[in-house]
Amino acid sequence: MNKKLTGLTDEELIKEFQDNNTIEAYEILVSRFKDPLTNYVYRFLGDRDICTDIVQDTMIKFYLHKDSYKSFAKFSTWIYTIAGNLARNELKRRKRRVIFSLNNDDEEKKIQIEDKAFVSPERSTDSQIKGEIIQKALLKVKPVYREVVILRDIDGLSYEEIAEITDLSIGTVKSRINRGRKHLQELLKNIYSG
Amino acid sequence: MKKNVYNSKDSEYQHVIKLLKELPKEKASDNFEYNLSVKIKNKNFGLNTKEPMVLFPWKIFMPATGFVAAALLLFFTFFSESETFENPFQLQPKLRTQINASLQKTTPITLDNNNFISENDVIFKNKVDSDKTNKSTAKSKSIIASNGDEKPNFPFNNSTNLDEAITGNAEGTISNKASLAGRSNLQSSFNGFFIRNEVDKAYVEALKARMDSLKKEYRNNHRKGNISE
Repeated sequence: MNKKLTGLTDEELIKEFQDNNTIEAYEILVSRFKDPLTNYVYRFLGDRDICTDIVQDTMIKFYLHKDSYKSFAKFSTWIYTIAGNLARNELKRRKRRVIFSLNNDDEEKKIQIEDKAFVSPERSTDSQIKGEIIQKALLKVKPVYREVVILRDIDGLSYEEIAEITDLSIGTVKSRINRGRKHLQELLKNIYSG
Repeated sequence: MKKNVYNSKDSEYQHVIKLLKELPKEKASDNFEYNLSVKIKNKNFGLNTKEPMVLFPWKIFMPATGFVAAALLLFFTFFSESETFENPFQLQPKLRTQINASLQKTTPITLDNNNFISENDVIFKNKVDSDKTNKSTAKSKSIIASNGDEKPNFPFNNSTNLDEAITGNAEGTISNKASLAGRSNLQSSFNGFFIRNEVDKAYVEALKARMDSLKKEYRNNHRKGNISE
């Protein structure tokens, strides 16, 4: 039964889960999407712990509201939409927390400032350092641009899929992607020129 | 054929795209599925990430607030000077004489000779002729009634009839009512709750005589120039 299910597409699996409440189908879908969603949410928020919580919440929402999925849409866009909404809410909540925080957040900002001169032994390889620099540069890009750049250039989704996930027109998606890339290019010019 | 403007820019950002594609893929934790299955089995669906709570939707009231503020501003700018109503608290109160005059104009009153009252002997007359006035009140009341609703034009609609309030619905003539209303102008014979002692006339006369003698003595001394000024 399980072998038979693994050969099914995402849409067939969700249909199986909707119609027969097959937990195996749900588990296969979770195993297929947990890593891409983790990567997407992590790149968007830059926090591993929160990212795990958000992906877990995404899967719980998927479990609870499986019937809200309509078969004319792609399953991947549907689950990315859920994860994206949760990630955006988290970002808003963080902003609000910063605004209303009584603590002096200058301290936090000081901690977040990158010390390029310092390289710890654990992350001494070039790719790791480069990865962290890119991640920090990504977090400096506006969320509306960052989201589409991640979906396009990191997760490799099509413009149509991104438009569906973000509920934007394809033209808006493309312009946002280019703006995000432009900003990233300015931030990362030291990496690829060197 | 329509040119794809956006795809043509991919080459412009190829370095960035390459860097992003080379980023290591983040993976979910090893116990991700286990934690998830535990949550589902225990029906622990309390989401870790709650939606941001909007404390109060201030934004939706902004247009309405602006409109109200503009309306108030316009009202006080253009309509504040065209105030036409009279403030009752700033009106000059009518004199009693004016009210009486208006009463006399509106109600032709025929007075009996017996009921003619001067200011000085109002009280006395009222006491003596109480029976007669009661009779004549009925007469004058009928006169007023025959004249319909002609009432003095008081500034307030909910004014009380002072005369009726004083007489306690007892009927009387207009002049009697006027006398009752005018009682406050007369010197009251009431001097308080003190017992009045009768003055000894002989003692008063003696005092007067003494004062006269003192005055006389003073004048005589003044003529003689005994008093130094």
